[in-house]
Amino acid sequence: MIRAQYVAGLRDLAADLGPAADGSVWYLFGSVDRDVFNAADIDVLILCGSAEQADLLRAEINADAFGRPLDLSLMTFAEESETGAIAHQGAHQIYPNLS
Amino acid sequence: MVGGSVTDWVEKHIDSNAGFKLLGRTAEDFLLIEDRKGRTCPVAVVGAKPVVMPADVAPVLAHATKPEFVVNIPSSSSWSGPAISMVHAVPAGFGSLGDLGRAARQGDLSDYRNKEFGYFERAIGQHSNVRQLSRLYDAVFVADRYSGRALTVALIDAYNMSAEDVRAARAKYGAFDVALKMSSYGGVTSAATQAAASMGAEAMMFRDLMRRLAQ
Repeated sequence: MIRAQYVAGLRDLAADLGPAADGSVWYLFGSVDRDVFNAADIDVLILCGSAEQADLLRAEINADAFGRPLDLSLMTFAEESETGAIAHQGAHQIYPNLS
Repeated sequence: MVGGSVTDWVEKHIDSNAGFKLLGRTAEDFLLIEDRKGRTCPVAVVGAKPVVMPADVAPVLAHATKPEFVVNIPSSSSWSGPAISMVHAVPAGFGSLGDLGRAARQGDLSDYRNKEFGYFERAIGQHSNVRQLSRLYDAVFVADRYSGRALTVALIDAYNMSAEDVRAARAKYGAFDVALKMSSYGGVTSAATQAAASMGAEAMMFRDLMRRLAQ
Protein backbone atom coordinates (compact mmCIF):
# COMPACT_ATOMS: atom_id res chain seq x y z
CA MET A 1 0.00 0.00 0.00
CA ILE A 2 2.75 2.45 -0.88
CA ARG A 3 0.43 4.72 -2.89
CA ALA A 4 -1.49 5.99 0.14
CA GLN A 5 1.78 6.68 1.96
CA TYR A 6 3.24 8.74 -0.88
CA VAL A 7 -0.01 10.57 -1.63
CA ALA A 8 -0.13 11.73 1.99
CA GLY A 9 3.51 12.79 1.85
CA LEU A 10 3.08 14.66 -1.42
CA ARG A 11 0.03 16.52 -0.12
CA ASP A 12 2.03 17.57 2.93
CA LEU A 13 4.88 18.67 0.69
CA ALA A 14 2.56 20.76 -1.52
CA ALA A 15 0.99 22.38 1.53
CA ASP A 16 4.40 23.07 3.09
CA LEU A 17 5.50 24.91 -0.06
CA GLY A 18 2.93 27.61 0.74
CA PRO A 19 2.43 30.37 -1.86
CA ALA A 20 4.89 28.72 -4.28
CA ALA A 21 2.33 25.96 -4.86
CA ASP A 22 -0.76 28.19 -4.94
CA GLY A 23 -2.99 27.32 -7.88
CA SER A 24 -0.87 24.35 -8.97
CA VAL A 25 -2.50 20.96 -9.41
CA TRP A 26 -0.54 17.79 -8.66
CA TYR A 27 -1.06 14.37 -10.26
CA LEU A 28 0.45 10.97 -9.59
CA PHE A 29 1.10 8.47 -12.37
CA GLY A 30 3.29 5.48 -13.11
CA SER A 31 4.22 2.60 -10.84
CA VAL A 32 3.54 4.29 -7.49
CA ASP A 33 0.10 5.33 -8.72
CA ARG A 34 -0.47 1.66 -9.60
CA ASP A 35 0.70 0.73 -6.09
CA VAL A 36 3.65 -1.34 -7.34
CA PHE A 37 5.43 -2.10 -4.05
CA ASN A 38 9.00 -1.88 -5.38
CA ALA A 39 8.54 1.19 -7.62
CA ALA A 40 11.95 2.72 -8.39
CA ASP A 41 10.77 6.34 -8.37
CA ILE A 42 7.72 8.51 -7.86
CA ASP A 43 6.24 10.04 -11.04
CA VAL A 44 4.50 13.35 -10.37
CA LEU A 45 2.96 15.73 -12.90
CA ILE A 46 2.45 19.29 -11.66
CA LEU A 47 0.38 21.76 -13.66
CA CYS A 48 1.38 25.37 -13.04
CA GLY A 49 -0.18 28.75 -13.65
CA SER A 50 2.96 30.16 -15.26
CA ALA A 51 6.45 29.34 -16.43
CA GLU A 52 7.78 31.18 -13.39
CA GLN A 53 5.81 28.96 -11.03
CA ALA A 54 7.11 25.85 -12.81
CA ASP A 55 10.70 27.02 -12.40
CA LEU A 56 10.11 27.94 -8.77
CA LEU A 57 8.62 24.55 -7.91
CA ARG A 58 11.52 22.76 -9.63
CA ALA A 59 13.90 24.74 -7.43
CA GLU A 60 11.90 24.32 -4.22
CA ILE A 61 11.05 20.63 -4.35
CA ASN A 62 13.63 18.25 -2.92
CA ALA A 63 13.66 15.30 -5.31
CA ASP A 64 14.96 13.06 -2.52
CA ALA A 65 12.35 14.03 0.04
CA PHE A 66 10.87 10.52 0.09
CA GLY A 67 13.84 8.22 -0.28
CA ARG A 68 12.71 7.09 -3.72
CA PRO A 69 13.58 9.86 -6.20
CA LEU A 70 10.73 12.16 -7.25
CA ASP A 71 10.53 12.21 -11.06
CA LEU A 72 8.89 15.58 -11.70
CA SER A 73 7.08 16.72 -14.85
CA LEU A 74 6.23 20.40 -14.63
CA MET A 75 4.15 22.16 -17.26
CA THR A 76 1.65 24.97 -17.55
CA PHE A 77 -2.09 24.37 -17.83
CA ALA A 78 -1.86 25.59 -21.43
CA GLU A 79 0.76 22.94 -22.25
CA GLU A 80 -1.43 20.25 -20.70
CA SER A 81 -4.36 21.40 -22.84
CA GLU A 82 -2.13 21.14 -25.89
CA THR A 83 -0.79 17.65 -25.14
CA GLY A 84 -3.51 15.95 -23.09
CA ALA A 85 -0.77 14.83 -20.68
CA ILE A 86 -3.15 13.86 -17.87
CA ALA A 87 -5.04 11.40 -20.05
CA HIS A 88 -1.97 10.13 -21.90
CA GLN A 89 -0.12 9.38 -18.71
CA GLY A 90 -3.15 8.00 -16.87
CA ALA A 91 -2.49 10.50 -14.10
CA HIS A 92 -4.69 10.96 -11.04
CA GLN A 93 -5.09 14.23 -9.16
CA ILE A 94 -3.77 14.15 -5.62
CA TYR A 95 -3.52 17.88 -4.78
CA PRO A 96 -5.68 19.73 -4.09
CA ASN A 97 -7.44 16.74 -2.60
CA LEU A 98 -10.68 16.03 -4.46
CA SER A 99 -12.27 13.92 -1.73
CA MET B 1 21.81 15.11 5.02
CA VAL B 2 22.14 16.81 8.39
CA GLY B 3 23.70 14.70 11.14
CA GLY B 4 24.98 11.76 9.12
CA SER B 5 26.75 10.56 6.02
CA VAL B 6 25.13 9.96 2.65
CA THR B 7 25.64 6.24 3.28
CA ASP B 8 23.61 6.57 6.49
CA TRP B 9 20.91 8.37 4.52
CA VAL B 10 20.67 5.64 1.89
CA GLU B 11 20.68 2.93 4.56
CA LYS B 12 17.79 4.66 6.29
CA HIS B 13 15.76 4.86 3.09
CA ILE B 14 16.11 1.24 2.02
CA ASP B 15 12.83 -0.15 3.32
CA SER B 16 10.89 -3.38 2.94
CA ASN B 17 9.46 -2.07 -0.34
CA ALA B 18 12.82 -1.40 -1.95
CA GLY B 19 12.79 -4.70 -3.83
CA PHE B 20 16.15 -5.75 -2.40
CA LYS B 21 17.54 -6.50 1.02
CA LEU B 22 20.15 -4.56 2.99
CA LEU B 23 22.58 -6.96 4.67
CA GLY B 24 25.06 -4.61 6.35
CA ARG B 25 28.25 -2.69 5.65
CA THR B 26 31.83 -3.51 4.74
CA ALA B 27 35.00 -2.18 6.34
CA GLU B 28 35.19 0.27 3.39
CA ASP B 29 31.76 1.62 4.41
CA PHE B 30 30.11 0.06 1.35
CA LEU B 31 26.55 -1.11 1.81
CA LEU B 32 26.01 -4.81 1.27
CA ILE B 33 22.76 -5.59 -0.49
CA GLU B 34 21.22 -8.81 -1.72
CA ASP B 35 20.09 -8.66 -5.34
CA ARG B 36 17.26 -10.58 -7.01
CA LYS B 37 19.53 -13.57 -7.61
CA GLY B 38 20.49 -13.76 -3.93
CA ARG B 39 24.01 -12.44 -4.52
CA THR B 40 25.65 -10.17 -1.96
CA CYS B 41 26.82 -6.97 -3.68
CA PRO B 42 28.91 -4.06 -2.32
CA VAL B 43 27.45 -0.62 -3.08
CA ALA B 44 29.34 2.64 -2.60
CA VAL B 45 27.55 5.90 -1.85
CA VAL B 46 28.91 9.34 -2.75
CA GLY B 47 27.40 12.75 -2.12
CA ALA B 48 28.44 15.01 -4.99
CA LYS B 49 26.49 18.00 -6.26
CA PRO B 50 25.72 19.47 -8.69
CA VAL B 51 28.00 17.21 -10.77
CA VAL B 52 29.70 13.91 -9.97
CA MET B 53 33.32 14.30 -11.04
CA PRO B 54 36.18 11.75 -11.19
CA ALA B 55 37.54 13.09 -7.86
CA ASP B 56 34.22 12.18 -6.22
CA VAL B 57 34.29 8.52 -7.25
CA ALA B 58 38.07 7.91 -7.14
CA PRO B 59 38.19 7.33 -3.34
CA VAL B 60 35.51 4.63 -3.34
CA LEU B 61 37.10 2.92 -6.35
CA ALA B 62 40.58 2.93 -4.78
CA HIS B 63 39.90 0.12 -2.30
CA ALA B 64 40.98 -3.46 -2.98
CA THR B 65 37.32 -4.44 -2.68
CA LYS B 66 35.48 -2.81 -5.55
CA PRO B 67 31.85 -1.69 -5.41
CA GLU B 68 29.46 -3.21 -7.96
CA PHE B 69 27.39 -0.03 -8.00
CA VAL B 70 27.94 3.62 -7.08
CA VAL B 71 24.94 5.63 -5.87
CA ASN B 72 25.04 9.41 -5.74
CA ILE B 73 22.88 11.49 -3.45
CA PRO B 74 21.22 13.86 -4.33
CA SER B 75 19.55 12.20 -7.28
CA SER B 76 19.28 15.57 -9.05
CA SER B 77 23.05 15.72 -9.58
CA SER B 78 24.40 14.96 -13.02
CA TRP B 79 27.27 12.58 -13.68
CA SER B 80 30.22 13.80 -15.74
CA GLY B 81 31.32 11.60 -18.64
CA PRO B 82 34.81 10.94 -17.15
CA ALA B 83 33.28 9.86 -13.80
CA ILE B 84 30.96 7.49 -15.66
CA SER B 85 33.92 6.03 -17.59
CA MET B 86 35.81 5.41 -14.34
CA VAL B 87 32.87 3.59 -12.76
CA HIS B 88 32.15 1.53 -15.86
CA ALA B 89 35.83 0.51 -16.07
CA VAL B 90 35.65 -1.25 -12.65
CA PRO B 91 33.12 -2.59 -13.89
CA ALA B 92 30.27 -1.10 -11.87
CA GLY B 93 26.92 0.50 -12.45
CA PHE B 94 26.00 4.02 -11.36
CA GLY B 95 22.97 6.18 -10.68
CA SER B 96 20.40 7.23 -8.13
CA LEU B 97 18.78 5.17 -5.41
CA GLY B 98 16.02 4.47 -7.95
CA ASP B 99 18.61 3.13 -10.40
CA LEU B 100 20.02 0.89 -7.65
CA GLY B 101 16.53 -0.58 -7.16
CA ARG B 102 16.19 -1.21 -10.90
CA ALA B 103 19.67 -2.75 -11.04
CA ALA B 104 19.00 -5.03 -8.06
CA ARG B 105 15.77 -6.27 -9.59
CA GLN B 106 17.56 -6.82 -12.89
CA GLY B 107 20.05 -8.95 -10.96
CA ASP B 108 23.39 -7.64 -12.19
CA LEU B 109 24.54 -4.42 -10.52
CA SER B 110 27.97 -4.15 -12.14
CA ASP B 111 26.50 -4.51 -15.62
CA TYR B 112 23.61 -2.11 -15.05
CA ARG B 113 23.26 0.52 -17.76
CA ASN B 114 20.35 2.83 -18.35
CA LYS B 115 18.81 1.07 -21.34
CA GLU B 116 17.36 4.23 -22.86
CA PHE B 117 20.62 6.16 -22.71
CA GLY B 118 22.35 3.14 -24.25
CA TYR B 119 19.85 3.05 -27.09
CA PHE B 120 20.37 6.71 -27.99
CA GLU B 121 24.14 6.46 -27.57
CA ARG B 122 24.24 3.62 -30.09
CA ALA B 123 21.77 5.21 -32.50
CA ILE B 124 23.52 8.59 -32.59
CA GLY B 125 26.98 7.02 -32.66
CA GLN B 126 26.04 4.81 -35.61
CA HIS B 127 24.66 7.67 -37.72
CA SER B 128 26.56 7.82 -41.02
CA ASN B 129 27.48 11.49 -40.52
CA VAL B 130 28.77 11.02 -36.96
CA ARG B 131 32.53 10.58 -36.72
CA GLN B 132 32.77 10.30 -32.95
CA LEU B 133 30.38 10.43 -30.03
CA SER B 134 31.48 11.49 -26.56
CA ARG B 135 29.56 11.65 -23.32
CA LEU B 136 29.67 15.01 -21.60
CA TYR B 137 27.21 14.08 -18.83
CA ASP B 138 24.95 11.13 -18.12
CA ALA B 139 22.28 12.57 -20.42
CA VAL B 140 24.37 14.77 -22.73
CA PHE B 141 26.33 13.59 -25.76
CA VAL B 142 28.50 15.48 -28.22
CA ALA B 143 28.34 14.22 -31.79
CA ASP B 144 31.37 15.20 -33.89
CA ARG B 145 30.25 15.04 -37.50
CA TYR B 146 32.03 14.54 -40.82
CA SER B 147 29.93 17.30 -42.32
CA GLY B 148 28.75 20.20 -40.17
CA ARG B 149 29.83 21.33 -36.74
CA ALA B 150 29.58 19.16 -33.63
CA LEU B 151 26.12 18.92 -32.07
CA THR B 152 25.52 18.71 -28.32
CA VAL B 153 22.43 16.65 -27.61
CA ALA B 154 20.64 16.67 -24.22
CA LEU B 155 18.34 13.70 -23.62
CA ILE B 156 15.10 14.65 -21.90
CA ASP B 157 13.25 11.87 -20.13
CA ALA B 158 9.70 13.18 -20.47
CA TYR B 159 6.52 11.74 -21.93
CA ASN B 160 5.46 15.22 -23.01
CA MET B 161 8.41 17.61 -23.18
CA SER B 162 7.48 20.96 -21.65
CA ALA B 163 9.22 24.33 -21.67
CA GLU B 164 10.25 23.69 -18.07
CA ASP B 165 11.95 20.44 -19.10
CA VAL B 166 14.03 22.41 -21.59
CA ARG B 167 14.88 25.17 -19.10
CA ALA B 168 15.74 22.63 -16.38
CA ALA B 169 18.08 20.79 -18.76
CA ARG B 170 19.79 24.09 -19.67
CA ALA B 171 20.24 24.93 -15.99
CA LYS B 172 21.57 21.47 -15.19
CA TYR B 173 23.84 20.81 -18.17
CA GLY B 174 24.62 24.18 -19.71
CA ALA B 175 24.27 24.99 -23.41
CA PHE B 176 23.17 22.36 -25.92
CA ASP B 177 22.08 22.35 -29.53
CA VAL B 178 19.30 19.78 -29.32
CA ALA B 179 16.85 18.89 -26.55
CA LEU B 180 15.85 15.35 -27.53
CA LYS B 181 12.66 13.85 -26.14
CA MET B 182 13.54 10.25 -25.33
CA SER B 183 10.08 8.74 -25.37
CA SER B 184 8.60 8.02 -28.78
CA TYR B 185 5.16 8.58 -27.26
CA GLY B 186 3.66 11.94 -26.36
CA GLY B 187 4.97 15.14 -27.89
CA VAL B 188 6.87 18.39 -27.59
CA THR B 189 4.81 21.41 -26.53
CA SER B 190 4.93 24.60 -28.56
CA ALA B 191 6.26 26.39 -25.46
CA ALA B 192 9.10 23.84 -25.28
CA THR B 193 9.94 24.53 -28.92
CA GLN B 194 9.96 28.27 -28.19
CA ALA B 195 12.02 27.84 -25.02
CA ALA B 196 14.65 25.88 -26.95
CA ALA B 197 14.69 28.46 -29.76
CA SER B 198 15.19 31.26 -27.23
CA MET B 199 18.44 29.51 -26.17
CA GLY B 200 19.58 28.97 -29.74
CA ALA B 201 18.66 25.27 -29.58
CA GLU B 202 16.03 22.97 -31.05
CA ALA B 203 13.57 20.67 -29.28
CA MET B 204 12.79 17.50 -31.17
CA MET B 205 11.86 13.83 -31.25
CA PHE B 206 14.25 11.04 -32.24
CA ARG B 207 13.11 10.80 -35.87
CA ASP B 208 13.88 14.51 -36.30
CA LEU B 209 17.32 14.09 -34.74
CA MET B 210 18.33 11.54 -37.34
CA ARG B 211 17.56 14.11 -40.03
CA ARG B 212 19.26 16.90 -38.09
CA LEU B 213 22.48 14.91 -37.73
CA ALA B 214 22.66 14.60 -41.51
CA GLN B 215 22.35 18.36 -42.13
